[in-house]
Amino acid sequence: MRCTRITAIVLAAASGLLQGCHQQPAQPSPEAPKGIVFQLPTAKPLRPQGLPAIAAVKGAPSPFSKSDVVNYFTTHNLPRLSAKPGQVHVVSLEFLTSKQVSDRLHGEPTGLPDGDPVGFATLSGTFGVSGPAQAKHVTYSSAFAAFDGSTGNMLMTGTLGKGTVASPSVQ
Amino acid sequence: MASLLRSFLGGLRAGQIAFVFLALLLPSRAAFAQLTYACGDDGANVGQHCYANPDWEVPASVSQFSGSYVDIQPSGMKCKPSCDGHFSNEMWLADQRTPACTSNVEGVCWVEAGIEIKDGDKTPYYFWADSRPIQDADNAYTSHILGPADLDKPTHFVIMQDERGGPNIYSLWIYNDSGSVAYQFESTPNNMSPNSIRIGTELSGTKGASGRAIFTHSTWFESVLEKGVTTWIAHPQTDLGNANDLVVNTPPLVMGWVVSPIYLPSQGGQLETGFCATASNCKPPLGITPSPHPIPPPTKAQ
Repeated sequence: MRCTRITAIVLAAASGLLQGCHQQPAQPSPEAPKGIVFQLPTAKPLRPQGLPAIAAVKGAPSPFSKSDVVNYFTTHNLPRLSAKPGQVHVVSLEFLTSKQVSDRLHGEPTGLPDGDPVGFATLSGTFGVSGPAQAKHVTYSSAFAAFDGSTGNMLMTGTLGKGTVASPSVQ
Repeated sequence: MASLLRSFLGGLRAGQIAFVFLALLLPSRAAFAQLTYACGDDGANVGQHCYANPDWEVPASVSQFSGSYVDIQPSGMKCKPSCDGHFSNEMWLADQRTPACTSNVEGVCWVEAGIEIKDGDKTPYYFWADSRPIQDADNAYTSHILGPADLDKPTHFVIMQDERGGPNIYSLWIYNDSGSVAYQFESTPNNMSPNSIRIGTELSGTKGASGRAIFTHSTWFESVLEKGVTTWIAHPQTDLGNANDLVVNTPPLVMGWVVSPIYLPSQGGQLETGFCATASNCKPPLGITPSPHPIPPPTKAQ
């Protein structure tokens, strides 16, 4: 009987989690369940759209130019990689395949098929990482921004080179 | 007092509890617009970011967290033209104890995923990022911008150790129930051994950001994804983590439990984060609902 009751609690909790969890019991649970069953989503993954950034000439060997990237960073900050607009310097812009970008970043995926074009801009300035509160706060003098070669949308940002600890963590 | 409150809460459904607190205590939208704060300049002063998040450490019964789950639904998430930083609602799965991570320049490795808006943007977007335990690598941190966020309903976020395709992989999923949001990525090579889960809000800059977010069903995973297995054991959080009070972590951010994970241990709780009403008035409760404290935890079956 007890086993049946626990099973019912577990199934009810699992059902709530998988349905977006709109149902909650009216009374506090008498005991914490030891675990619930979780099932992964099955929807086909979407291609990342990225953040609208630069107007690209679709299919061109160089869909946009270094000056386009310079102009963009004159007025825009970097997602997740703090740097003041106007203080981001574009060192270079290369057009690589998605696979080449991933290889350059030690296996980090772009989310695009291997052969898709990616504009890889190397940047200089002072860049701060947005991490969890327990992380030391580190700045970097070099970073990158990767743009979808088909759309000009920004897909990725990240640090390059070694960082310097700027201040201790919050906690 | 505690017994009276417990008696009152016991007579309500959880949704009614949330409604009562929200209706009584949420500040006006106008109050948010006045706020200035000190959450770090960009660049060199990044260390002064503000946070509002509970932190759960791995329980003694397991060697590590194999993953984490949370539902996030922000509302009114804005970074006005004067906004000079970023504002994100997210989940972090982190390793701050193994040598490969503590020797990183940040002193920790992590995978994070959430919803962000930054200066110059009109709409929030989904993102994920990682800082992997790669010694001597030229690339320590990478973030991915996925697409505009759907804020009409909660979005589900999962980060999970995934051995189906080999070792050293953390898979993550960002999705909703309708299938209109469905992103899946791998953080690899990544051999971290997570001992910390955080959910909550991060803010940088000095002005212009506003909004709130609700986090529900905070859950940790005990088992690793393996080939041929289609379901896994998950544990809803059953305590408040290290944020065991009505915490204002770092103003102007505040947070509170609308539904305590202690009170409803099968649901992982419902956390709300947001902004203080004004810069000079930032003590709870200030628009963020207080947790239904003090309520002693129910007896846990072991």
